[in-house]
Amino acid sequence: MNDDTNPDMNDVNDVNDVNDMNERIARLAARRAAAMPTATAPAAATPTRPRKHHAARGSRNAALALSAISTLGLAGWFADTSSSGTVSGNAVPDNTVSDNTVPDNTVTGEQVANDPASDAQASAAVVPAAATTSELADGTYTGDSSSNRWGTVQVEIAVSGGEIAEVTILQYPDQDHKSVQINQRALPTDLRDVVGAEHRGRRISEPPTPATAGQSLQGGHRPAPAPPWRVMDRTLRVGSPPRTTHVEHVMGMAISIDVRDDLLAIAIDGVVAWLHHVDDTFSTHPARHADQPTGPRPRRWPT
Amino acid sequence: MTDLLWFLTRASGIVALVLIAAAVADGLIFSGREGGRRLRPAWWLDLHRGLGGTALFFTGLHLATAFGADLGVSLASIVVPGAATSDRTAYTYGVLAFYGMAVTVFSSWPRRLLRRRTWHVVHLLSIPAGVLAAVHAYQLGTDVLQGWYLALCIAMTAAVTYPVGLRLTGVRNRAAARDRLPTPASTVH
Repeated sequence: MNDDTNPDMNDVNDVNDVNDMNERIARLAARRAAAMPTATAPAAATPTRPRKHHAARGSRNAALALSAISTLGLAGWFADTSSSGTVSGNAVPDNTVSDNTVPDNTVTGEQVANDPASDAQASAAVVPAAATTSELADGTYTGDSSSNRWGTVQVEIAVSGGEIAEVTILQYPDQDHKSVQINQRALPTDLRDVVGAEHRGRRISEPPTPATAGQSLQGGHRPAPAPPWRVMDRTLRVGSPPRTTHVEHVMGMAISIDVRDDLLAIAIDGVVAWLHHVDDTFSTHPARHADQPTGPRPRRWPT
Repeated sequence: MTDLLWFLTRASGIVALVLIAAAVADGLIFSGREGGRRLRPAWWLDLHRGLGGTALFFTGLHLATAFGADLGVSLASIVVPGAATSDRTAYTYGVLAFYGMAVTVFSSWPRRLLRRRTWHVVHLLSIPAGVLAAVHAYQLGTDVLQGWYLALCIAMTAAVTYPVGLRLTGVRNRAAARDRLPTPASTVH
């Protein structure tokens, strides 16, 4: 006779199953209680929260330790690679300078590094040069290269007649588009401040030179059609012609860039880098680029 | 000091991103029952919870060090989506990813507070949160152009994509198996 067809018999079977299960649970509980160490008995007297069982405790701890070690290791590596960028720059004048003494207000890497640059990456590089330069001997001064969180900065100034006649940015953070974009705005402003401060410090009685035209402008003596300085090829030159041209071969054609504004030529670097980036990204002929160097080309002729 | 915080910011951000990827991959392996026989499901679940909590901790460390590293990052820009004055999109993605992670973790820990279906929907926020964190890292990361970072991204993508594939094929296979089962009505004669 099939049990499924008899409801009464099903009830009996269910009761038997429950009894079996209860007996089994009781046996398991007794076995577990016997296996428990006796030292835990007093602890049971004080009600404490049972410790949560972690099935992967070892792996969790390993992941946490590995993460902490990785974080500290990466931070140390970043610090090491950042500091290793500081190289040999010296703050002494070049051979063109007769006086070998190092002026106090020479642009040095330490000054660059200690300057609290917050928003403009290159501010630290050029602002210290805005100090008065009356003690400088004529010549060219190269500052230490200094690496900060955005890249390496190095500047060079040329002093003529005790004044900064030229500021050249030898290195600036240009490793990514964002840095180039920031420096396109920041560097012209900072260089303008440098030369502006320089000219503001001059005496009006000095004979007018191209370098003093800015001071005349600021004094309001006469209007001038053009600023007293021009920026050419990362260099701010006092009284230089206001034009920078550049020809770049990219995408199979020659692209001419003619800058007739008070912009640093790093703007050209940014444009050229972007064009090459677009070419490298979208070109269907990667072999065509194998023999072509990437990045800004040195073919630039200031006029 | 600010330089140290800056280095810690970069490092903790990268580690947090790796932990997020690992937690998501672990969760997919666990939920797809693809953990194999040697490791119990409880082990995968416990490790998943541990990785999620650790990822949230390192994300918090990333935020704290970024705030103190003199980066011009205001408190509002790392707390309020869209409040950043520069790189607004990248910051917004980061803030949203952080909130998504926090909701995912705290809705599951220390105990599940929501009904299962609601919890599952909330828990799935971890996937877009991980994607937003990756986009945030790409847009704002200092090391994204480095070769090792690219290799790390490829490894993380593979580590997440593989269990996603297993999960999707597992769902499909289980649905097909359910379709092959005889329906109760077909057994009644």
